[in-house]
Amino acid sequence: MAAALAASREGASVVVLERNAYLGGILNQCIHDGFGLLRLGKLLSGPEYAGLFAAQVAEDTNIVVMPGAMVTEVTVQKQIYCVSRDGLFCVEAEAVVFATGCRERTRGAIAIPGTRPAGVYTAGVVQHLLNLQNIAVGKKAVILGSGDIGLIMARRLVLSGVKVDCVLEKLPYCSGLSRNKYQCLEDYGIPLYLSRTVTKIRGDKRLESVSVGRFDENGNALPGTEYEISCDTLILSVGLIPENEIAGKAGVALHPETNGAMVDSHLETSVPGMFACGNAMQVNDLVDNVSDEGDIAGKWAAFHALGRAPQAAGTCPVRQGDGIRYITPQLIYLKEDSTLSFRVTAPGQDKTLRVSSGNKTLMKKTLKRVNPAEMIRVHFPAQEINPGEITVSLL
Amino acid sequence: MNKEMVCVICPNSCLLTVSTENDKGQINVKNNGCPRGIEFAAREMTNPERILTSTVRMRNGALPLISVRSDRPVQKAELINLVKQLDNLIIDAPVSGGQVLVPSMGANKVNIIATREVGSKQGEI
Repeated sequence: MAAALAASREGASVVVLERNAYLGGILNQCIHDGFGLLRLGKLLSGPEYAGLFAAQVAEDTNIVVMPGAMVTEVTVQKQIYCVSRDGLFCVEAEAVVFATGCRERTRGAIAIPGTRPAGVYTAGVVQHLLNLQNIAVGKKAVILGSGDIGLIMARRLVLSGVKVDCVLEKLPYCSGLSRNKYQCLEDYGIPLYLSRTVTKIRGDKRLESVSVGRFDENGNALPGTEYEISCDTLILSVGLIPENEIAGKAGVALHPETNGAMVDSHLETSVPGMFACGNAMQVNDLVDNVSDEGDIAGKWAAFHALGRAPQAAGTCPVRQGDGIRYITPQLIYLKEDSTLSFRVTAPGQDKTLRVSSGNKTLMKKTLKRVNPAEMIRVHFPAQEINPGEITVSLL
Repeated sequence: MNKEMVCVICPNSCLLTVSTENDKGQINVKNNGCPRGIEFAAREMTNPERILTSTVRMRNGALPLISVRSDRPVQKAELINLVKQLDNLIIDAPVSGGQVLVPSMGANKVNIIATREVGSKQGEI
């Protein structure tokens, strides 16, 4: 919606193709607060944040919204094939913005051995059942993975009368934001056990128990440390993957590690005129940053569609150096200020962020506390001289 | 007494170290990025507060539930009890976003407001 509004502001005609019957996507089931502080200076719930954008979209005469329309294919010529209740149709566009979000890793993705009983869910599914459909999931839950949705659902389950035994995390640190650990787990006395994971699922029709095994600090399983927790519900919060099947088939290059679309600082992908923003580009911590990305992608998509696309000259690639798990964008326009967003590989204190070109340091910044769970965004100013390429590293 | 806490006022999420200075309950806050951290820590040490968010069942709604929140923070100690009270309610559709569904709840006399609109069942197909 942010991309649609931004494109409209630049004078483009916009079609929003939405698979759901409503706009706003996952925000509709995120009933907790904390949205909108950076952009709006207000603490809103997910539905409220989405509602503000939906109201603007509804009023915008340049934007046509087509709910219940699922895109099945985008061609390199930017023909967008959709299916809906009205049948198959094709939209022809000058520019495309992929704002397709992300999806959850499942039990299959992490290959937990055992039986296949009912009662094993991903955290987002539980959120949908509880917050939108009024369907209870179980009586006693174990949460595997300390991702933000898992932490938020731990609190929600306790408030809805479910006993949450514990949250297990395979890594030696929490994968979610520290604010969520504090206000979702510590507020309710829910234990977080690090360096542990579920090694077996037991139960015939319904989940009866899980086995839990420990790891050493290097991530090696410690045999003989297994113990059992009886529970009827296992909730997985073990990571999010950008949803890019359609973009990938259209030829958009994807990041080999994150599956996010690779972009330049205008959020244009490897296919000219195709843009990506939000969780389809990189999984964000904060919705405000998702909307900021939408602003950029929408604006440049409009420029492309209206024939005001920039010259590719004056760009330079961005490489990830030591201590960085991934960085976006992968290419920047040097004559403009850019925002570099990245995640670190390990938690640390008093680290130095260095943006360099060969032996030359272009920018240096001290970061007091870094955590893989918390995306870091830094402002990188416009450059007079083309450094050829830049490398971002954390020392 | 030293206590570590995460300030949840903004996304910076400062990791505060809070110590009680003397018997009068004066506190000393370290590692706060802004004055709001001191305010937050003081409240956490005496009477912590949180925004309540939950859902309420709907009668004749296009959706079975409406998402709600408190318009101001409630006392943390009574949050679970207030959510239980909301679980016993059924609200008639339609409801508009921002509508007050329950006025003056709990010790802080907060209003419980709808965070979205939900139309009536017959109004939508």
